[in-house]
Amino acid sequence: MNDDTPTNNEPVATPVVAPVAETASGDASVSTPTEVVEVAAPAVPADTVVDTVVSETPVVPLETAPAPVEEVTLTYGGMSEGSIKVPKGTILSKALATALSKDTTGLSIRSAGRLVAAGRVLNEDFAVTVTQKSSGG
Amino acid sequence: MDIIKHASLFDPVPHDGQVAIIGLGALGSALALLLAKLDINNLHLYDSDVVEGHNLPNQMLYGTSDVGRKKAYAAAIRLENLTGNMHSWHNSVDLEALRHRRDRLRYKTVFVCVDSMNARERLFNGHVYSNGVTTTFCEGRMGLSSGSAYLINPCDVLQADAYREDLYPDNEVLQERGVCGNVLSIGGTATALASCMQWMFIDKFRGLTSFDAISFGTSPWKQHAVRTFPRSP
Repeated sequence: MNDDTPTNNEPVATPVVAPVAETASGDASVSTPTEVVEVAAPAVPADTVVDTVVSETPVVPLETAPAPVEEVTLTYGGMSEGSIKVPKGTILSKALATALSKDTTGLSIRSAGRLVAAGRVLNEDFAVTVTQKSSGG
Repeated sequence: MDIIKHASLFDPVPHDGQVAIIGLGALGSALALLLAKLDINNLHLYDSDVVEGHNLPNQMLYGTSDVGRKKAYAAAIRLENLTGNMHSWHNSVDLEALRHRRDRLRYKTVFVCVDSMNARERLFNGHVYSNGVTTTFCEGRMGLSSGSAYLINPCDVLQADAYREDLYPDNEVLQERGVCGNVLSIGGTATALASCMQWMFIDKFRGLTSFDAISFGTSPWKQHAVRTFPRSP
């Protein structure tokens, strides 16, 4: 028997590579495999010696460092004064609720003398004045 | 009355018979007292409610002998006793009826101290805005320990629009309530807010402002005062 021919008792790991991407010109090009998955080996009798097959395909390490979260500063005054840093994209009412430790229902929110929608998304530093909506006479 | 203490700040004579106060509860009755003490003659006092026992602690103008009387009448009598000036009382504030008789609210100055946003909106848009007479509109809103006051000229479209931005619906209002579900109210907040409105009125006729809005808190743990309108639109 030729030594190069695998026997039934010698499991072969088949690397699964990333799908082949097609270039803009239509030519198929092979992308760098990003992950290797070993196919489960067939069951072997306990007394059988099995050679470990190691794939020589390089494994690209996953990026472990998370992307930095960009923050904006919400400055508030009126019923309470202070500022809070929140991730970009935070809804104004949620940032205020965190800052004031209360529901923002019943609060009037202004910036530069004009009312501001509570659902506004914060993408830059922002300053508001918070007052209570009351109606007594 | 001898008005030497404020005569150089405010001349009451041009305002005689030209000032109306709509709503004479905690805020309106306190304001009526402060305006009458400026020696304005013939304030027009509007309210359809009756003085009840639970009004006495926070509605500073009324006493036990007023319980059961119409607020407008009781206020007019009290103010006459305190200042010697006569005032007009209007025991009915039917806004729909007034809509058909717009002359009824044709005063140069209208103070609004009602207790719902709906009534404020109807008074402003249906009666005061561009009625051709009212040039000073002053409105107050009271919470338990906070308040807001507005002063605008309703003939000025920009000022009217800025004011309308703050006419939020009643269901957005935050009301502090007691264990029985009643709206809580303290006379000191009404007096503080009435004082703000009195100064806004005086300052307008001193030429210091014609367009103003402030909001404040009165309780010791959250005192604040902020200007919510720019001074000039």
